[in-house]
Amino acid sequence: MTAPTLDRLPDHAEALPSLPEVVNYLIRALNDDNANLETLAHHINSDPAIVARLLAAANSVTAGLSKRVHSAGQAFLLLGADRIASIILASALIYRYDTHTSGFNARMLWQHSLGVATCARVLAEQTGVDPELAFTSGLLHDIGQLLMHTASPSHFLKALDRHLNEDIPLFVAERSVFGYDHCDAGRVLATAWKLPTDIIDAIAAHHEPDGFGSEIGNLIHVSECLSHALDLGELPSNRVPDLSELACANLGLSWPKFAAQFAEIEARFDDFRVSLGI
Amino acid sequence: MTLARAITDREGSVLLSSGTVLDLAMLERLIRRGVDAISVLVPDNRDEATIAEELRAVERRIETIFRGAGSSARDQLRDAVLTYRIETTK
Repeated sequence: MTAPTLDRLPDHAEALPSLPEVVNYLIRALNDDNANLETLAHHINSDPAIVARLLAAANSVTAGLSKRVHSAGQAFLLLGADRIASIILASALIYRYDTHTSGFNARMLWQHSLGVATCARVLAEQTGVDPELAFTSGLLHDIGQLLMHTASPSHFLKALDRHLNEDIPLFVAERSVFGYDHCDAGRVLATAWKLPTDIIDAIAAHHEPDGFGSEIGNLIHVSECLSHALDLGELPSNRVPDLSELACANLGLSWPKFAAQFAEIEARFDDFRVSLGI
Repeated sequence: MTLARAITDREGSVLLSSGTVLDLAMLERLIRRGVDAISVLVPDNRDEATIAEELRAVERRIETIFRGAGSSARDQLRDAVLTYRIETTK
């Protein structure tokens, strides 16, 4: 059986569960000055599973202290809106798309995505890019893998096998099996989900950003490499991808200087991982 | 618990200086202010041989994850991560 072609992928996108309502709200809020905490609280309270995860995250932060957190409102006051939004976004995605079959563990993909998102937020804070857009794009950058696995599990597992056994980048192995890679598939899925153009660009550009001319694409590409370099997540056979000189130059990045942020990135990643239970 | 690095706010003003001994009330205040990570001093009971072995392991790990050729930007990233790992292992 041949692998599904790129132009047939939108049909398979319908087989994936739709984005949770709260994720759609948070993504729309990126470009909406009128989005506010009350509306966010409304979206959260309509989903008891998300409230439960939010309280677990807030209580993991206060572990050992005198007070317990019992409501979404208390969690908002304790953790702050930005952090709340990040926790909600990540937990809603992780638990909606929690595929676990032999050879493919979506939890591992989300751990890596959280690593990239954490790097992206800190890089964004240092380079003047919107940190929320950077975090969201980092979380979503590998969603193409979910679509490829859904469209044809056997072909995707074959690509994963080549990636691990031949020690080649996953996107190269995917191209040899499918004729396209998870950047292409991610663009298809993000378009089907009607995500903002910036996020679509970030997903499409994250392995080979030169030629896209996208600032957020450059930032997610660098975050991808940095996340591998700091060993965030538990990737089998971790290998740092090649890093674009142009992307680093366009972001005005100096590694000796930015290295002062490495400890902060590791601390934030560990904090998120514990908060989300992954 | 003793602070290893000063805690500053967004404007760079020092909230607590390095060397401050933290108690529960101070931790709760920091959390309420939105501080989500701090550096604390941990007693180091390792001997020199253990430290040397850990440094060799760090170098091996960096060599492994940066295997294969790449751009000079990737080389600069490797050097920065290696320096960071050595400093935090010593």
